[in-house]
Amino acid sequence: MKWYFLFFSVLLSTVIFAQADVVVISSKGKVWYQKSNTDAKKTLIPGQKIKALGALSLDDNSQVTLLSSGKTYQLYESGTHQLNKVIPAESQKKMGFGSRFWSFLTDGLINSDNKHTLDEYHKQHMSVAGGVKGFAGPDLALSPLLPTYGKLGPGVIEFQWTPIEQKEIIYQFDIVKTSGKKLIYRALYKPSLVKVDLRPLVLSDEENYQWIVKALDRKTMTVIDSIMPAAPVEFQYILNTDMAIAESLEYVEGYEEGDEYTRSWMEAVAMEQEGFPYLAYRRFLKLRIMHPEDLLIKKLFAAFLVRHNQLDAAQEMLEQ
Amino acid sequence: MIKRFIHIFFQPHAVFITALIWLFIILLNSIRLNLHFLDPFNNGLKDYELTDIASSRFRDPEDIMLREDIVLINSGKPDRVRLQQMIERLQSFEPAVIGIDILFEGDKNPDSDTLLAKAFAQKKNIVLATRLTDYNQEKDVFEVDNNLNPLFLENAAALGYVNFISKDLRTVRLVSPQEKTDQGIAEAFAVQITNQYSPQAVQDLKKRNKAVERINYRTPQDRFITYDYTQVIDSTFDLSYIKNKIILLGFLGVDDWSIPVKDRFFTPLNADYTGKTLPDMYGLVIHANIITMILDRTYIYDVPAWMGRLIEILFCYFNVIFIHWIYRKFPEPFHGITRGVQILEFILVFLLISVLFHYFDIRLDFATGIFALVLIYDFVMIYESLIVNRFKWLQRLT
Repeated sequence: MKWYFLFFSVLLSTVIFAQADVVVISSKGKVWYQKSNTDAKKTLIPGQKIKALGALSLDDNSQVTLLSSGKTYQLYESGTHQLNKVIPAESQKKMGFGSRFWSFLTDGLINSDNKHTLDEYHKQHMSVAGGVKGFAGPDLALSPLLPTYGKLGPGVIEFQWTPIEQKEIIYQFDIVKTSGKKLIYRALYKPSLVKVDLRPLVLSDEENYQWIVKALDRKTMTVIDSIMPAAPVEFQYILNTDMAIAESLEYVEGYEEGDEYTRSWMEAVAMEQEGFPYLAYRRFLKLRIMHPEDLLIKKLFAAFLVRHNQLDAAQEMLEQ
Repeated sequence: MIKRFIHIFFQPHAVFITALIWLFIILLNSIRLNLHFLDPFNNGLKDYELTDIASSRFRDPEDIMLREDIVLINSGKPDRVRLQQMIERLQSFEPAVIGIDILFEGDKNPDSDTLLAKAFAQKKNIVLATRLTDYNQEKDVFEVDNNLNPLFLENAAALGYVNFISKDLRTVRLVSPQEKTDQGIAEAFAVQITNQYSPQAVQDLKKRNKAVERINYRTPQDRFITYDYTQVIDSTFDLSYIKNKIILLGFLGVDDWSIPVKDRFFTPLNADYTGKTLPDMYGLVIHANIITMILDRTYIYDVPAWMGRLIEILFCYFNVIFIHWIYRKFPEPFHGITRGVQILEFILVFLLISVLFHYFDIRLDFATGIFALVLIYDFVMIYESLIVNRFKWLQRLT
């Protein structure tokens, strides 16, 4: 019995000791390993086993995947990395558009898995995006409902905001030039949405613009002070949207070979990444109608909505 | 004692209810109504098996072993000159076998084609990929892709088809070790590679005499040592690790962070098992998993259909006895107790199926048994309120 105990103890300690090893799973470019400052740098080779001591040096555009204690660690950033720091925490990733595209996509898909992850994803995004895109805080009564900010393409844009439950109300919708606040377009509307064709407004793609909604008393036509207006929502007018998105997608693997469905959702993701959230919204909406049962579209769209402060709509969609 | 046993476990009413449930299931199966409300799973769940959860979620990443006898090499999108350089360099480090998961269609440059064919012929350890195309129903054979260049095929040690048994966007679960073709018996790519490395393992596979094998996915891509083509053609880069190993050369993407759709498939390891998301595994890694399964003899054992059905019927029968007993003894809380029991049994059955699959590689298809369990409550109610009262001879049964 004692012999068995000794045998298993030795075996166990061997296993534990072996787990401290780091195995190089794969590498690209130039990656060196230096055991200590006095040792010479040696090229790291896939399959090589090293201790979690010393440092790794990566050249530009190099990368390495390490396996230690059943976990993989990937290094992308050029420079010197101390192994004892790398192993517990995965390093920051340096990514091009193609890489960012897939990373962004995977992130969204993982986070739209269930209500809880969606909530966390929303919090995480709002803490980054708060105030930047014109998302209204809870103290503002008027806030945009559609992602009509960032880059807007030519054509008819539907601007929507939260409706106010008062009978004697009318909305004043303005588009102004950001610099100098020159008024470009003004309209008064009863419903809480307006469709504007941007083409006749002769907007320049070198200027920034804002749209602002205020609630007016219908009789006096004065601004109702008790209703806070939406923060001005900044946008740019881009004439050639197709080209901008097509250029980005050139770097995304699988796009060229993809079927219409694949290309369509990839375009939607690229539109958002390239700063065209409204175009992306329209595309996701279309895909959702065409493929109501498609889980991928559902999750992508939900993640999109969360990123654009539409948590309730995203949750409702996932529950369908 | 025996009398008491018979009294408890042989109950004519339970036999009738069980028979009714199974008649209903058989009827539903044979009619195959295309009605959505009778379909227990929607489209998103059709391509899903209970054991997928065990494959994708239950495995501790720390338990997944590094696979050192197989080395993957990412070919990128190579031209034939680069491939020839790669093959020659790889051969100089004496790998046991090189499987090339690339389809060589037609002629390109005569010089580079000749040099590549020569590189293939250099050592008889190269397995090339072929593809089965149309199935000829009359002759019961597949046709081998005619577009593949015979110059290369003739110089390989062996040829293996790379087709997987899966419709588009469906999970790859099965591999067919061999198929009849218009050119004779053809073997799968992974089988041919394994045959070069360990003929005994392939003999053992053939002894199983199964038309298709369920793939036991044990190793994700990050547990295979992987080289990039740039390292292979770099004459200063040490490749001695590959000596006597199985080399699988094929497309693994061009960017490590990207998840290209090209040559990627859905597998049971996909964490999003409930619907269509992104394909999770390259074809090359699937071949590697098939090879590891053959080498390690870690096959998945499907419980025979007749045994599975018998277990399901017995499961249904004993549940009918139990639920019928609850109905008679506790008519008031019958609904609550029954639903509680059903939920508990779902969990236990799921646990049992997962344990069998995870620890013993035994796969039990229990979908009909679960469906029967769902129906028991309603059939006991129907039987008691509509059937028994109408037939006096049924009332006389004890």
